[in-house]
Amino acid sequence: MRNLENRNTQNGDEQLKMLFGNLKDERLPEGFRQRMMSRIEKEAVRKSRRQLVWNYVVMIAASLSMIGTAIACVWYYDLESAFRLDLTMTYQEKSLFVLCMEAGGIVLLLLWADYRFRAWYKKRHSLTDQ
Amino acid sequence: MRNLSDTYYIHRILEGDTSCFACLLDKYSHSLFNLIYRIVGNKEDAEELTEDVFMKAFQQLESFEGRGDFSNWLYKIAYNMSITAVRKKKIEFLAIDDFQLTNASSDMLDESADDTAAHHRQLEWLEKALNALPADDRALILLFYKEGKNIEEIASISGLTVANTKVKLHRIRKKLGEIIHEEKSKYL
Repeated sequence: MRNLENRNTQNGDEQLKMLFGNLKDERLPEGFRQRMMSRIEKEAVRKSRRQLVWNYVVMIAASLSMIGTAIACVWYYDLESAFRLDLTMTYQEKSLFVLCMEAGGIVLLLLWADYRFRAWYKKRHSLTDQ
Repeated sequence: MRNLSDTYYIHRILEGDTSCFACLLDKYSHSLFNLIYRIVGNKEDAEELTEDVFMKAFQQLESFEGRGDFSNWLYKIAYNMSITAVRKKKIEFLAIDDFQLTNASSDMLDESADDTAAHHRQLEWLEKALNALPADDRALILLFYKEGKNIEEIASISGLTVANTKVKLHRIRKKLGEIIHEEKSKYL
């Protein structure tokens, strides 16, 4: 009895599949492909312009942040006064060396961050280096 | 023209060769349009939605990144956009309560319908039955029977679990049977 039911279900299923396969398909409207590709091309141009603008924004932001960090370091560590030709030696040479090391460390950190960001960006956009 | 894989075309498109998108368009536009048309029930809306689906696919191609099947990913976009469009329009459908579902015979269709007229009648009943279903149910059954997607693929397209998809398809099939049975009894 169960086998008969299963067979009936299978038959019904196959009939449905056959009927669905015979459902009338509508044709795509005339000129759909051309219209679609035209939209895609325009979007591609818009996308590349957006990319270019974004690249400039990131570059300017990175440069400004580096300049800003440098200015902040000069101001915070009072490097301006440290580099004045003042022979009274208000700062010990050792602390000046440490200050320079810190500033250099910050620059190296920023360069490393720049490298990592570029690598991530290239990987994401599947660009190939020449 | 060589039948190259979708992944190849996607990589070419991402590298800047936008003309390759036409190959994906040729491959999927017809079936997607028909699926969307059957879900929303209106040709103009279906055309607009199909364009929006492909546009969205192009814009989000980078996020696809070759993970999984491109066809399923595209159908998922189409499914979501169509269902959203139908919900916005709040198209009414004939609600069939679950308690009305009888143990509709699995041979709901006339097995002896070899002649063309009977076959056309059955197609007409099927069309009516499909139009009476809610949009998401209609989408699921079409994905299964018309597009030939399996349960796992339908689950990934619709966002349901595999178990849920199986249950839903079974219920939809029963609903279809009930409606077709009603149409058949009106005819006889």
